[in-house]
Amino acid sequence: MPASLCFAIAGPVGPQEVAASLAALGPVAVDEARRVIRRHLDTFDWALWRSGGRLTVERDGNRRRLLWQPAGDGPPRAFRLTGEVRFAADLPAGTLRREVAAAAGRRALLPVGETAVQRTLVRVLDREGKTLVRVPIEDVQPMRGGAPAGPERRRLLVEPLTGYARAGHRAADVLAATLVLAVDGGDELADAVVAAGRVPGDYSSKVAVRLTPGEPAERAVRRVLARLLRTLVANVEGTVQDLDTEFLHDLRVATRRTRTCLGQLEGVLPAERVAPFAGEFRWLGDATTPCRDLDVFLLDLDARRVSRQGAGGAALDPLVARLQADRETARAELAAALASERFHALVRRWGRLLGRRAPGGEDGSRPIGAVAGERVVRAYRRLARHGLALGPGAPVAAMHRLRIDGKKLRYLLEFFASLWDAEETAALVRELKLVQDALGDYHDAWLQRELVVGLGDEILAAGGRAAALLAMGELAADLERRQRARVETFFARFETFAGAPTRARLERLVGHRGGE
Amino acid sequence: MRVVAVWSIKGGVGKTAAAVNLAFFAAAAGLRTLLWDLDPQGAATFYYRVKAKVKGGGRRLLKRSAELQLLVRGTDIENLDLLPADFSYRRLDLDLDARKQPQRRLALKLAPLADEYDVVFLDCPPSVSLASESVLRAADALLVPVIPTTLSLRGLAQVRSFATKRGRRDLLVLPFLSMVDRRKTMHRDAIGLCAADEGFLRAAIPAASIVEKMGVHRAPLPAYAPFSEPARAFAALWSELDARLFGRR
Ligand SMILES: Nc1ncnc2c1ncn2[C@@H]1O[C@H](COP(=O)(O)OP(=O)(O)OP(=O)(O)O)[C@@H](O)[C@H]1O
Ligand SMILES: [Mg+2]
Repeated sequence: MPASLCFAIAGPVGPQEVAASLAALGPVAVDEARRVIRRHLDTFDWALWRSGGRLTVERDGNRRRLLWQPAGDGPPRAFRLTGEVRFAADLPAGTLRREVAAAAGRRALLPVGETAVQRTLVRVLDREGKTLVRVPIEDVQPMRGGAPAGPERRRLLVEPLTGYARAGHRAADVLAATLVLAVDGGDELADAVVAAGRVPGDYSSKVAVRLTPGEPAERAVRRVLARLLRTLVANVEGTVQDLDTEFLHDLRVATRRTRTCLGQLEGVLPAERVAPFAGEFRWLGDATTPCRDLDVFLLDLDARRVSRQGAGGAALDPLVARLQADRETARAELAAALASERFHALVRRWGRLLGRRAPGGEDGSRPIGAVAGERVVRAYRRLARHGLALGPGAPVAAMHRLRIDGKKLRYLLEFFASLWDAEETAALVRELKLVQDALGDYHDAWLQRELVVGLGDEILAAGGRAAALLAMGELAADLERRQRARVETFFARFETFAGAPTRARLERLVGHRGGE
Repeated sequence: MRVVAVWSIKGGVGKTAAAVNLAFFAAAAGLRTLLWDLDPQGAATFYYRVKAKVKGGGRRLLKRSAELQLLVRGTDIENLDLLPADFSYRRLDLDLDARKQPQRRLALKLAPLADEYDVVFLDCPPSVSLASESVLRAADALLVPVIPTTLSLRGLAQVRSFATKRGRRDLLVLPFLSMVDRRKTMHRDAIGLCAADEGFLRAAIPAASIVEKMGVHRAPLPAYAPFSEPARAFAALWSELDARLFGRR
């Protein structure tokens, strides 16, 4: 793909001026202007925008097509649009689907802004009358709710056809020499998003709070908790509307992080004011569990089907249908919880509490650097102690508690990452994540196997065929194998993570040494 | 990427007309389309106003190291690129024969383009040769224009047997009626025979002088006569082909 260029037009320059300027190169054609509507798509967490890609559905009369501009300076590529696009998997197979999926994963592709564009195409031709370079002039009007919002921008693009890069360079040079142009043609996506009332990159599930080591712990922890509350609230609507599974995931993580923060940093906020909230966040966390567990199971089954290329897939259909029905029930219950007065009161009161400076607990006025270091080391030591006392034959409940110990450490490291060396923090989080992934997978496999085994009778009672039950048996056996394999992976990785060198690195990182 | 070869043993049956116009409709439908003109006469290249010249000719192009991408030219139609013809293609058989695995050569050359294009049309010269074997091995579908005469139907039988022997096992052989003149009794009779043949695509391209004007306009038919009867027939032919290649969604 040849590079394309984009200029902003500064003066009163229109198609006629552009054509006159390009006439120096040879024959020029000016096509009739067209009006198109572009709907810009991205995930809720701006995965495409962050990757540098742009995905747009363009409507010209009743024709629709997809425009995909991957990171880099090539012109957008046009693709046929056949159905509704909700996920990367709905896109036509090939580069487009692969590139978008690589960035978006399983997040939904949501409209994030709209522009109405008046487009006039000027073409540079050769002596045979063949197009060498397309030079569209676009008046880009950001829209909101179908009405213009924000200033219109005129811009000019230089798009050489494949195989005619030299002509493209010549056209760009002539235009730059004869017209008043600014090199930066603006950002159509950003304009559209701003008009829609958002800003690209305005959401990320990361706990990106910049702290300084000397900051009083009470203030620092309130800021972290306030950030978590914003994340939690930001995900309510997407969860209730069921746009994709990651809204619930992020909402659940924000809840769990909040609980970890309350538990692991006790003594920082005034205990008597915080205490009532612990139970409320536990309630909220529990409300998210059934739906999330089923989401994970269904996603796993989907991945299993893809990796086996459909082999034996249909036999699991009764199970999948049953899980989907259960999931729908769980989701409706969760939606009800999120619409309840109890939830709204929690958000309201918690927000009020976090917004007000208050005399903290006994550790509230200590510097956060010291408090955070001490709590991280404590969490690490507890995790190491509990884990080293277990072996591959440990009961599931003990392994589950260990997983929670691990999560607490991970969250603490993430809350306070800005206090420490970024690279080393990230390295330790990565190592911990490897340990946790094995443990999480182990636990999922156990849970899913319990579900499958428990559903056998019901599938049978509902008229399930032998094939369905055999497939479920095979699935259960696979899950058991996975559970066993993962627990071994876990202990192999854990040994390193709980060992003296890692402990020394951690203590050095956070500047706190635990006793023996 | 699906590869469609437009091929027939007979000359002058409307292969190029089909390749040029179907490529237009594929591109208009938003598919990233490549038209590869394999005929040394370069009619398709001429219709799209591209210079019929390939640096180093066919011999160089067949080398493993030569990248087809560098030879591709964009056309006036958005989403439609063209690999131009070269006069040296008249020796394509000899050049292929000088290579290892000549039958697989075209498929091999096309493989790196799999991510760049959704569909590739090969406009082939009329012959049965090493080049046609290589084309057959590269193709997912073989489009065969058939003028409704008894002689052409015999030709089709030959095409089918050659395709079964030399093509891929899952090759779609898709004949369609070309240059149909319903005023001719012989055409009407042959049309009856073809209608009974389930392998035929339903759309039939009528004979009309406006199709010949492609050489005057140097553009595909729908670009200068979008509502003409043959343009509509090509559109219908494309939707059938589209369904066969990509399935209905
Ligand atoms: N439907 C049609 N009606 C009238 N004339 C047509 C039609 N299709 C093609 N022609 C004309 O018939 C001649 C041969 O058509 P075309 O070049 O498409 O056939 P071909 O099979 O590609 O020929 P060749 O074997 O020489 O490559 C051309 O002059 C073309 O303009
Ligand atoms: Mg021809």
